[in-house]
Amino acid sequence: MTLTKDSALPNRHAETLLSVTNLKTYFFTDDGVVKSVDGVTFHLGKGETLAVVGESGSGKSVTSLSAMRLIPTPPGKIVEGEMLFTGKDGKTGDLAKMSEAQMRKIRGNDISMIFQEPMTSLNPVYTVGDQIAEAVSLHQGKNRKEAMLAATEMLRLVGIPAPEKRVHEYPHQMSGGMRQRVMIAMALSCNPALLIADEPTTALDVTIQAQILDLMRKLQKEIGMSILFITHNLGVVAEMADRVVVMYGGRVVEEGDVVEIFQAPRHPYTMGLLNSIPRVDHAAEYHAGPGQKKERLEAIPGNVPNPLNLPPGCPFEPRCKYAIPECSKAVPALEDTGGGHMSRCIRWKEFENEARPAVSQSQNAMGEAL
Amino acid sequence: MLPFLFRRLLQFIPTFLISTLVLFFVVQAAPGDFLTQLSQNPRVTPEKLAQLKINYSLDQSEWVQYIRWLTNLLKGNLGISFAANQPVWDLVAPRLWNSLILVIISTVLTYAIGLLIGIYGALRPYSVPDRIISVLAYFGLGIPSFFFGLLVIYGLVVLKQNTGWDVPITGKSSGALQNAGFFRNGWDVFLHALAPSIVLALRSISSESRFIRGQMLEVMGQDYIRTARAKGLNDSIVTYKHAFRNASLPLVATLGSLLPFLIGGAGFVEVVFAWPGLTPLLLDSLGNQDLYVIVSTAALTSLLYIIGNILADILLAAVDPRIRYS
Ligand SMILES: Nc1ncnc2c1ncn2[C@@H]1O[C@H](COP(=O)(O)OP(=O)(O)OP(=O)(O)O)[C@@H](O)[C@H]1O
Ligand code: SF4
Ligand SMILES: [Mg+2]
Repeated sequence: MTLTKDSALPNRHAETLLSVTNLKTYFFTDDGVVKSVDGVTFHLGKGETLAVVGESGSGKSVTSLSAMRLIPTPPGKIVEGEMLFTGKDGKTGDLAKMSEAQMRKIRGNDISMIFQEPMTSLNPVYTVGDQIAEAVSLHQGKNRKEAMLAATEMLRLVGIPAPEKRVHEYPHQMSGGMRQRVMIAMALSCNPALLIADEPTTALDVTIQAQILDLMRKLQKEIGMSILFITHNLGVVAEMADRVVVMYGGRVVEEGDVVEIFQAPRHPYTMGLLNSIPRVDHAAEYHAGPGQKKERLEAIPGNVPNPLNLPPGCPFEPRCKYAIPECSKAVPALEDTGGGHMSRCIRWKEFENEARPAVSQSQNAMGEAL
Repeated sequence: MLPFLFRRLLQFIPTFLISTLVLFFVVQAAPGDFLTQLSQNPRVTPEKLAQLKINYSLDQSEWVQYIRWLTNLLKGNLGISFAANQPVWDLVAPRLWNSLILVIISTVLTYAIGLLIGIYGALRPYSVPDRIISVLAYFGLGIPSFFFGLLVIYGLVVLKQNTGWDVPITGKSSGALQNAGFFRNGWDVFLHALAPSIVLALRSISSESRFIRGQMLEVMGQDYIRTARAKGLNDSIVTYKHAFRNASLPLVATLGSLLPFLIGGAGFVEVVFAWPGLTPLLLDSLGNQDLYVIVSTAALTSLLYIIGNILADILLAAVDPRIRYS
């Protein structure tokens, strides 16, 4: 595998499917206002896979739930921003402003979602067939019998053996990997234009992870949908994504083509993330023993900032080894460093000539991280 | 399923034996016995007394009497009431039925009203109506039942004076209706049962509504509810199909314990509203030391208890696919 996604790389001028501008989603809690997503901007082309990466609490899930308008309200609220989305009918509308009724037509039909926890994401008291058929009959007006047939076909598509039998089973009769396949079947049952996958493989063990990722790639080719792929596993990013958005403290800190991000990161946080995955020259030590795994990795020192109490300047400043006094004056702007590669760091120009691991190394490393 | 039911019945046997045995001895421990009273009745001849003594082994030890009663019970014979001089079953059956009327109406009230306000509160947690309901529910749990009973009676009397609406507050039927048709009579009984059932249901409505509110709130936060919304389902399908079905599972599981609670609670309400249920009869029988009425009634109520529990188990298996009795 090479990092140039020759087969799947979409045309740079492909039509935009989702264009998020200055999205702000806040939670109004007793302790104060949590600015979980604070001015996020990104776009996603048709057929493209965009990975959203970042540490826990950086606002990845809140961003995706905002697009689905599934933020629990109260305490959450989309306070500002625009999310232009082009549905399967070719009409473009702002997800932030649509009525509940319009959103219900979009959810599960134009945009579907799969979640991190396959064990708890299915309703325990209904058969998996029922739960898939529910979406089919809702959006495609099929009667129960037709919808159940469609559900069986979806189960077959996602590689569940004996789907005619499995369709009548309950979630508790299935393994985690099987349930995630069911979730995928459910999400894809109405041929969505956009699939949002929020850490879909994190809860699964490694071999199952690989199978699920393969399945998603295969189905993406067949159905031609776009994927918003949320993860904190950079190995998965290398494997799945065309472009990457890196989030930190509710903001986008870097955005760019996956090859660019891995070969020439222009934000210290991204560099830190890349250094925290195992590199090929350390691979021998890495495989020395399971207990030593973590120690070989260079994790970013410090903690994610408290969203209730962000520093005035660059939110990464307390942890950044390149920080200068300038950094704490104002929040850096997201600047275009050329060719659509964006960075929210005032020193990005200085990183252009930094020594970086060779392509082949980082790419092998990503394989290991899987 | 059947082996499970059989096991359930087996588990029930020791409880049953111990409770009836204790009753048997406690009632007899009091000075005198039912024959003392019976012997003062001029219409009861000494021969009749002697006959009774032999029939019920009263000349023998209490253990023998107990065993005798138990074997009779297994044959479907609950013994006789010495005070009423008629078979216990004839005496108890209509009373039991009357008590069940109250229990059934108040169970329906409990679930209908309790679920409604519980779900309402869960859909708007901490809103003004929800807070008001919470306060009322604590009030409903805290207020002594006899006091609430008197309040209801007072309220109904005032209602009648002001509007002429007559909701009966004593007895089980209006004597005037003796020969009316089945539906007229049924309606009459229902009206009479209304006030005592409401009093009886107040406490369980209060507790069940809090319970279902908590359950609903918990379930509404589950991942599968988010999945249901992400499918594009509307609020009422999410609430009633996806959330409520799950929230009701523990409710079904506790149904078994609600029944005996209501049967027990029905007692004082029957006294306050002069409802001809089991409790007034039982109180009389305790005064008369009418042994077989007392123990046989206890046997019947514990049988109801086990039936309630088994029904709850069967219902739970029907609504929760994860439960299989094998
Ligand atoms: N319901 C809520 N109420 C209050 N704060 C919330 C709520 N949901 C999310 N947040 C806050 O929003 C911030 C971002 O959360 P989010 O779930 O988007 O993180 P994430 O990037 O998806 O992290 P993870 O990798 O752990 O999934 C967190 O600080 C979190 O505390
Ligand atoms: S702006 Fe300064 S503190 Fe922030 S990432 Fe860049 S160098 Fe580090
Ligand atoms: Mg998340």
